[in-house]
Parts: sequence; structure tokens; C-alpha cells
Amino acid sequence: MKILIADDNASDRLLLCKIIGKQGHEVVEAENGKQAIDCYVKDTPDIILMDVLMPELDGKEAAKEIKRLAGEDLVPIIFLTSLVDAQSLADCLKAGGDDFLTKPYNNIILKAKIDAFVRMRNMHATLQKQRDTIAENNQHMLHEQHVAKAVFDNVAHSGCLDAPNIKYMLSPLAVFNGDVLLAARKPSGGMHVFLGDFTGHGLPAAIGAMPMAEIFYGMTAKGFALRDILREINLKLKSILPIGFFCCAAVVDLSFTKRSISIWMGGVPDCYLLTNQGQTLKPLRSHHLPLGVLSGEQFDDEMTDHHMDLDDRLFMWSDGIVEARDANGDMYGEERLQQVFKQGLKAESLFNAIQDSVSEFVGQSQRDDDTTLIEMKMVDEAELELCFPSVQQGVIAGPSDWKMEYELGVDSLKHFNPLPLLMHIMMEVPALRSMGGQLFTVVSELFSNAFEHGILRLDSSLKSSPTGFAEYYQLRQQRLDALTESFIRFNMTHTSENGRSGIFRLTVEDSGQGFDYPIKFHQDESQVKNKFSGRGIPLIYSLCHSLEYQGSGNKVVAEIHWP
Amino acid sequence: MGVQSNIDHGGKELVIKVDGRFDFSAHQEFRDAYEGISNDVTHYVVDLGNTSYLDSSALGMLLLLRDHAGGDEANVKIIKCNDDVRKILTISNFEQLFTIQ
Amino acid sequence: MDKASHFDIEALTMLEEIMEDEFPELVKVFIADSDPRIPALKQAFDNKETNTLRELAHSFKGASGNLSALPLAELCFKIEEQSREGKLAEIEDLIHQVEQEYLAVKSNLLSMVE
Repeated sequence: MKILIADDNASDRLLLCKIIGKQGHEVVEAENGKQAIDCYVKDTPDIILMDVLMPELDGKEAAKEIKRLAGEDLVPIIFLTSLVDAQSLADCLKAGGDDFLTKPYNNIILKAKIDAFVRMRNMHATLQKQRDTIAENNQHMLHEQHVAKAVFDNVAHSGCLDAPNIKYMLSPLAVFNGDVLLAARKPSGGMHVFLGDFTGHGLPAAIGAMPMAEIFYGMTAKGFALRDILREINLKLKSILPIGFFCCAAVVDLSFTKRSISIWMGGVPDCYLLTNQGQTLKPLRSHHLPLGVLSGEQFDDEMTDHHMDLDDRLFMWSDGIVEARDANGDMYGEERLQQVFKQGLKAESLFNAIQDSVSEFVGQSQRDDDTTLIEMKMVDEAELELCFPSVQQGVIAGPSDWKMEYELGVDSLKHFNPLPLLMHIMMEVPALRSMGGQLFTVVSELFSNAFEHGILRLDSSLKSSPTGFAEYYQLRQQRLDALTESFIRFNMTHTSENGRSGIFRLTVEDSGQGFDYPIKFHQDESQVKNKFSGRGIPLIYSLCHSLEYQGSGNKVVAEIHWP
Repeated sequence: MGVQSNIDHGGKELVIKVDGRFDFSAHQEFRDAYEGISNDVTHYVVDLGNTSYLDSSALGMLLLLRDHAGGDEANVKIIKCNDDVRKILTISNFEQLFTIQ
Repeated sequence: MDKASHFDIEALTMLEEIMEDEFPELVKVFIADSDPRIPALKQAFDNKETNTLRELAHSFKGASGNLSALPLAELCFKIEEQSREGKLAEIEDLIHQVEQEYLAVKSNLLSMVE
């Protein structure tokens, strides 16, 4: 250690130098307060021994200046004094002294004090180093968070949260609070909106949000139905999140043409549906487990449908709103939220009223920004046209004008199921994906009609009794084995108008004899039923824009329009 | 806040009792209550009679207990929930995974 | 010479041990510092400068204490106290006593280093 001795008394100084030198420290000397300050700057001593009464500048003034210069560095100052009254000693400490040593010097005590301050200095240096490391790490972490947020924003904000029918509130760093808000236009019209709330904060929440947003936007853009998207997200989260981590969510499919919503809620507080010109408020309750809890087989994708007229609104929030706390630690609670709706405000002012009510309640208390809120309004689709995200064109572009013919010969008919291949081709069209189930029904019914009734000439009325059922399949196998020179020909065409609407036409022709069919279909169910019992035609008809038999009844044309 | 546990019914049933707020601060204690106990335990009971509040990390802890107790085959009962606690379990549809009384 | 009546003998021995061969230097510095203090004290008394008196006595007290000349330090302390309270009456006599005691201390120290 380097020790500065400031004393105007030459013999005292000499004695101290000797004592301290013997203890193995380096010594710097000063004869007055002014010199002491100069020596501090020039020699940077570790510990200072300072006489109180000195000419030029006394010890107390010099100590004040040295402490000021030292800033955050710890430079222990031990006052040397023969003063004995308590007030004088207290004044020394007040001036910035850390301890004092009374004359005559006792070298044992002096050594003990110097040793103690050496320990304190070392500890202080360690603390400062640790503090600097922590500050540096924190800086680093904040930087990483901002980078991560930028990456997340690129993924999450490719959506349409800024659409004119949406109002929302989301903390800028919400992804690290576990809140996620996503919205995307569907290729076939309408909109998907996703409000998610991950358990936990920080990285675990942010990590789950990334693939979730990817799946949501990717699958929505490709035209998948919301149920399929939910299943996919649930499966993904289940596979990547550790047990005990999950995502509460409210997910909505808004249809502007049908003026309705389908909603799926798992683990979120009640959402509010405001209808009838703001007169009727209906809470919608969560009925599902959060996403990421159940396996794919157990997952329930059932959604509930609600009608919405123009200007009706749906409000959704994460539990951060209900659980926002004021200075006393009390929660905002659902009653206060309901109260906002009961004030008789105009529908368009409710969103701001909720925001104001919550921030007024929370006041200046530690606002934790964990409050996510969204309002969706039912509008005419035309109002949204302008904001259709152009960046997604690349993603949604699939084949739009195409046709193909696919013919199966006898051997193929015996051993091959063409349906997956046909489905795969249809599913390349974004708008058709959301109708996957419907298309599958149509194609599979028409194929089995052509095959079993057209080619194999089986009578489905056989299947109505248990014995007939077995007989039917026995007969089917016999005729299949004996089959020669047959074909089934599929013809598919798809046309689209600017990617906004389209027509898919499926023709299925078989080499059979056909059957007696009426020229034109009507929605008269009784007629349809009587004429075509056993061919599943009423079902197909209900799924198609039009269904027309041609030729001898061995050729059928189904047309499906979208949106 | 505190977590107490004891084994009943001839060593077959573990009862875990959570007092006060059941949130992340109870995480370690709650885990300790069931980890490393006897293999004879086949039934689990979570007594929330003195639980004032339950947050989503508590739901996560319950899922962890369920997983420990055998996942889909687990026999975990949650008992004595007050209305607030019950509501939180209901909106997350936890009835589907736990017997709630 | 009666060393024990002017010094704390134990402390003085320890001082010698600490200073080793620099003890004569310490004595020299002490005497060089202290010699001018006696006339300075007298002059301050004549001019009735109680502050100067107090500071001189305080400094002399510290230095003599460190040399283990406790009776001298004690006398200096008395001057410091009296001048703090502004009582000049006894000070002239005290200065005289300090002078006598200092001379004894000085000759003792010199005899140790010769």
C-alpha cells in the first residue's frame, strides 16, 4: 500500500514514516493540507494519515477536497490528532474522515487500523468491479433484448394490427412480459386475431412467441382454417415449452361478409361482445385449456360463433388489465372493468375509457406495463381494402389459374387411393385451404360414387341392414377382382379474379353406365333425397355452388366458389 | 405464504396445503413438497382452503405436479377452492385435468 | 539525571527500538522543531495572542507526547486549555515551567544519543 502522511510537525512525521515503513508500506510525505492535496493527485496514495491542525490548509479542509476528487473511489483518511473532546473528533468524521488516531501514537493500534482499511479498500475494489460487471452485463442484456425485440417485431408486426377496425394497446416490450398480439388478413377475406399471454416473463415467454407468430402468419397467409392453425400452434408449444409453461389465448376468426365471429378461448379472462348499437354487453367465457398443455389428440379446437352487426365490437384483454395494481397493492378487478361499460358511454369512446380507468387506478405506482387490450369492430370488408398488406403477396401467391386432368386405369383403381394427391394439388391454392374439409367431402363422395356405383354398380341400399353391409363389401371385392377396362377421369380447373374471388370446378367421369338423373337441381330437398338416395348427393349439393350431372349420368361437374 | 405437506391414508396420499398467495414465490417449496417422496404415494391432494390468490405460474406448478404424478394417469384432487381461485381454475378449464372439489 | 520523572520510560524504550539507528535523527528533528517554540510562546503571551498560544501549545503537546515526554506534554496541554478559555493569569508561570521541563527533556535526549 502507498500511504500519504500529512503532518506539519517534522518529528511526528519522522516517527510515523518509520513506523509505517517498518510495516512494509510505501510512504509519501506532505507538510500541510495544500501539499496533501497535491500529493493525492500526483501519487494516488491508497490510505491517507492526516494531521488536523496544519498551516496553509488544515486537515479537515484538505480531507473534504480529497474526498471530492476521489469520487466513487474509496480513499480512507485517518486523522492524526491530539484533540480529545468528542465534538472535535466528530468534526473530523464529518469532514470526510474515516477514522482517527490520537497522539501519542501506539504502533500496534496504528498497524491494526491500517490493516483494517487495507481490507476495506480491497473489498470496495471488489464491489466496484462486480458492480461494473453487473452494469456491463445489464447493458448487454438490454441490448440483446432490443435486438430480440426487433427480430420479433419483424415476425409479429407483419400483420394488420393497424387495420382501421382495430384499436389496441400493447407495451413496447410486451414480448418480454409474455403478451402477444397478432392480426392477419385471410386470403379469402376476413381476419384472424390472436391475443396470447404466456406464463412467466422474460426469455421463456419470448421464445414461445416466435414460432407461434410464425405459424399464425404463415398458415393464415396460406389460407388454413383457424382451427388448423390453433392445432398447429398447440402442438408446437406443447413440444417446445417445458411442462408448466403455456400460453393463455383468445383467438378470433372475423368474417366481414357473414357478419360473424368464431372465437376460441383458453385460460383468458372473459371477453366482452358489445352488440345492438352498444346496448347489449355479452361476456364470452373461456372453455378451453391454454395452448401448449394438451397433446394433439386431446386438444379441443371447438370454436363458438357469434353474430355481429356493423359497428358491433369485441373487446379482449390479457389478465394484466384485471390484475393491474394500485399503490396499495389492490387489483383493478373485473368489476371496475364492467363499470366502465355501464357508464352509458358511446361505443367508440369505450376503448379510451378503459385505458383511462386503468391508468387512473394504477396511478403513479410501479406501472408494470403488462396490460394488453384490443378492440375489434365489425365493418364492411371494403373499408379494409386499402390496408391489405402488400408484403404478403409473396407468401400468399399460389397457383390461381390452372387446370389438370388425371385418369386412373383399372390397375390403379384396384390398388391406389387418389384422394391425397388430389387434395394436395387443391391445397396449393391459398383460398381453397380454408375449405379443405368441405373440398375433401366433395371429392371423396364423388369419387366413391363414380367407383362404387358407376363402375362396380353396387347398390348402396344394401348397406342399410347389418347382413347387407357385409354382403356389400363381399360383392365389392368380387367385382373389383373381376374388373377390366375401366377408368375414372378427374378434371380440375381453377380460375381467380385478382386473387379476391375464384371458382374451382371439378369434373368426375367414369366408364360406367351412368344413372337416371334430373336435368336441373333445386334446393328442394325432398326431391333431391328421393331421387338420389344412397349417393350422398344432398350433402355434396349443400357444399357446392352448383352440381350438374351430364351424359348418361357418368359425368358430374361440381363448382365451388370463394370467398 | 407457506406450503405444508403430509402423507395420509397409510402412506398412499400426499396432501399439499398452500397458504396465502400461490404464485411464483411458492415455486421451490411446492416442488419440494412432492419431489423425492415415497413411491407408495398414488393419490395427490392440493388443499387450497387457505389460498387467497392463484396466478398463472401456480397453474404451471399444478401441471408440473400432475406430470410428476403420472401425467394423464395422474390422480390429483384440488380441494377447498374459494370462489376467486375456482374461477381462475375454471377459465383455464383445469377441470379437464384435475378433480376439483 | 532523573529520566523517569521526565519520560514514560517504557514508551521511550519502544520508541528507540522502532527508530533504530534513526533515533538520533528523530531527537535532532524534535529539538530543531522545539527550540524556537519557547521564544514563540513567550512572544505570543506578551502580545496576548491567545489563539497563537493555543496552537503553539497544541502542536508542542503532540510532538512531546510522541517522544514520550509526558510531563512536558501535560504542561503544554494546560497552556492550551487556559488560552482556550482566555485565562492569561497562570500562563506566564506555565510557560516558565514548560521551558524548564523542555530543557530537562532536551538534555536527557541529547545524553541518549551522544
